[in-house]
Amino acid sequence: MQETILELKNIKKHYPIKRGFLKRSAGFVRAVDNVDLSIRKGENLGLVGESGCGKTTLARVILKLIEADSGRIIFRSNDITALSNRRMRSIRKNLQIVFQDPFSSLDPRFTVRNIIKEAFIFFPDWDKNKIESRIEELIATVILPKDSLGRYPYEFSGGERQRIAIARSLVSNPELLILDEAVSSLDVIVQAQILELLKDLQKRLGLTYLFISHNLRIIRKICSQVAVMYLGKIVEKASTEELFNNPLHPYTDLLLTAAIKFKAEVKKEISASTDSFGGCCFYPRCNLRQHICKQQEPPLKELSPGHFVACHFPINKKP
Amino acid sequence: MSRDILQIENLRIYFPAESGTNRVVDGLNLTVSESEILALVGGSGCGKTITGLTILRLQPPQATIAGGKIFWQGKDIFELSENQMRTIRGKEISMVFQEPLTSLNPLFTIGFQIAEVLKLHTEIKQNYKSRTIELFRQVGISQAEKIIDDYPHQLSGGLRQRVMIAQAIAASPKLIIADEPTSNLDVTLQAQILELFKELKQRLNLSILLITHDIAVVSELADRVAIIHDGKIVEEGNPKNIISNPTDSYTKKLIEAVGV
Amino acid sequence: MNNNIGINKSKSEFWLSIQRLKKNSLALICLWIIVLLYLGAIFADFISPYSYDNEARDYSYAPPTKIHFISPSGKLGCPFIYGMSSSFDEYKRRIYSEDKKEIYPLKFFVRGDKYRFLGFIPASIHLFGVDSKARIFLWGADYRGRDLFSRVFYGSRVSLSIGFLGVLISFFIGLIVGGISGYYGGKIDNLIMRACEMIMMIPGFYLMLALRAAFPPNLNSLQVYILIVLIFSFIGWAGMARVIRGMSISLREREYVLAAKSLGISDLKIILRHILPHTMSYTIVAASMSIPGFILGESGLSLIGLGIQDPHASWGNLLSEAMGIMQIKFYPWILLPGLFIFITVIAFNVLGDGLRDALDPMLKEEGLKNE
Repeated sequence: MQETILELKNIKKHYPIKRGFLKRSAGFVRAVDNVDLSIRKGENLGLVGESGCGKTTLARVILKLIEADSGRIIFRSNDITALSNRRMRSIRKNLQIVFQDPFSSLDPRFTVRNIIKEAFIFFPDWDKNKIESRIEELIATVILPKDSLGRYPYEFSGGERQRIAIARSLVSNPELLILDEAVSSLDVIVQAQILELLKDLQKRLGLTYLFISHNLRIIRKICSQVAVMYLGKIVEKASTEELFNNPLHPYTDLLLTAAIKFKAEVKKEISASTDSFGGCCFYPRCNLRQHICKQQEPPLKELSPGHFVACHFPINKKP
Repeated sequence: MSRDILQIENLRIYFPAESGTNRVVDGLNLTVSESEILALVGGSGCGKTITGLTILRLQPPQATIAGGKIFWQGKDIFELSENQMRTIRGKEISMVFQEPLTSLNPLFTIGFQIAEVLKLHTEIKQNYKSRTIELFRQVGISQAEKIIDDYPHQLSGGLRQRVMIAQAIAASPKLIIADEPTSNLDVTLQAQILELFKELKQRLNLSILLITHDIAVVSELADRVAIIHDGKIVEEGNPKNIISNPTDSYTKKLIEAVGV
Repeated sequence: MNNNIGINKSKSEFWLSIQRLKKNSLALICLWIIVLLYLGAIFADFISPYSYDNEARDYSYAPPTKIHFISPSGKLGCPFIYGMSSSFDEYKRRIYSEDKKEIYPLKFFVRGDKYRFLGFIPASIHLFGVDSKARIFLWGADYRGRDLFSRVFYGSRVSLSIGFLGVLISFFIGLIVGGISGYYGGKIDNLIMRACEMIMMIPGFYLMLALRAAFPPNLNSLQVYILIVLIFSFIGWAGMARVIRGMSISLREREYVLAAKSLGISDLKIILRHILPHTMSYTIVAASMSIPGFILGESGLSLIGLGIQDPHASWGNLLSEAMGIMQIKFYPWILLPGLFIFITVIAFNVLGDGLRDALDPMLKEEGLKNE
């Protein structure tokens, strides 16, 4: 088995909801609630869930752009939870992110060269020529013409911009690249091209991806492991093949039907879990629910090897 | 065979570019029949959005119609006066946009915005509220009374898109042009909205021109699919046939990309 | 959508904005007026025939000197002026008349009062002048017989530079403080914003008077000058900081800020590189719009005698001589500095408008247009 490069233990991030004139806090939004995850080298993990389920918050917690309320983040057996910003720099070298919106993740005032150059903060002792030749190498890696370097972001299409963002994240040869809805805003053809590029990069550079998306169809193409997140919690975790063939959690089943057959089974609107009633987070939308689901929160159990689910009554399609 | 209500013949729309002209739509032919869902599928920049806008003569001012005709129920819309056009917009053809947050006015309640359409385009002159609630029910909003006095920002993305659709069907139009109506929504919401379209088509005898870049999304829904590439229709037909047996190379690429 | 790659050369948004400004002829005219005024201020000692404190009591309130081209014998020739003789009327006012017997040709690049060119090169050459026996007052003289033309140009040094320095310092403080306040938010933000409100609560001119009153009245002109700049900066930064804070609150949510953070770039660098440059388009417009305020403020202070003191000149204290109806009636030329204030204020405002139009797409792109 490959070594584990990232491990999350009991990560929690709650946002207080403030109401009224005095801003008294009236409950919490449980953006991330007791999340345990681990990513092994070379095994891309897909994190899937609807918008507002906390997947982006989780990504930002991993990068320590947001401080977690509790829990531990372990990156290559170093506990990075409490590292100072300066000591994080050596970690960030190996831990990079590509954001969703290629129209806002590149500073419009900078040329492409300067955008990429900013990432050379990891190599303060490099001289100009070395940096320049590395930038040229990177822009070739993401298959953009060399003369793109002098241009400004507004001159590029969405897909090209996303390539620039990827080039920037590759400067330091990271081990883990977090892709936060990195292809969601692109049209299908460009999406396919970027996914192709990512696969190719993985082969050549030995990267591992944490791929965050709401679209299972995309995750299926690039990830070997999938974790399904619902309202801040991981409700199911399995290898991609297992999850697609044998979904155990009713929510996963719902997502799969919607993403592949474009059928909606439950027509209820989601409400964010502002108050905890102690039961299963999916209770209000579940069509298999029973009395116990309202009272007891199901723990994440391993039902078959490598297949975890948090449900009292998992779907059992296999005999 | 049902009647054609919209015919686009050899439409050409050019934009000025820094060197010459940019032929965004270049000889496009398309027909929409009564009560059918036609999906117009293509990548970004292929001219599908501009075609949708031009049907309502809402194309941006820098666009020039270089040729072609659009017939709406036999009338050439380029011959119509602005006044006649205004009665077509919203009353006979309505539009649903990609981003419901920016296409609803944030300063007015959603109830008011729907009442406005009713006032303008229907015989209903009072009791807007009951008609609005009825419309909300039709688009599957369960707590219609509760949200009628809400402002757009108070609603979730899925609800906003439903409100947009309610507004679009308010004047009982014959055709709805839906431009990427689900691209910004989660898969579960996307599925719900697509099912809603299907239901509305059957119940209200509507035609829907569904503009999208994802052929997989519409494969279940559309009666017919037209693939648009470089401003032309390159392939047209039954979605199942096209997906299982595409002839055009661009169509193949589109299908490959979504992996159905 | 982008098929143009490789066809046109890349242009920064700023360059595009300048192209748009070039098409706005009214704003361009105003820009030139402002440039000329500032050049006039820089080269004031060369342009003006006399030093600001060169007085000739015999010429109190002398009217503007006429320049003649046709000699008494009726021939067209080099420009010259006549000498001036004066007598008193029944109210003991001086009446001036041209003495046709004395002819003084107008000379260019003549030696006159000593000055230091650009502040350090000793020089005594003036653009124009006449023999020292006569005096030339292009725009008349004040009650002590000092040349108003010279004093307007010397005065513009104070008036124009106070506006510029005031904006520079107050915007510098405003940008940094506002940037920090918006970027960090929370308690820091709360503290800074309450401090801003304390300053903004008091009407500007009264605060200015109160602050000026807190200092001894008998400061010399240089001290007063520095004091005024400091007072203006103290008053001006708060409004700027508030706007910049609002902008940086929205800018800090941009993904490129997050991207920079995920690279481990320090907060100060992020503020300087990714936040404040995006407020530039607003800042430029706001700066050109608020310079007139500083100029008017200085004029106001000097007008009521709390600003620059005689013999030093500023447009405000030059105008303070025009506070009586008698002076305005009999010596209307002493209102000229007012015209200069007027032109400068208008020019800056029109230029600011033009800049806003030119930078508009940038402002829109930043989503900050309404702020």
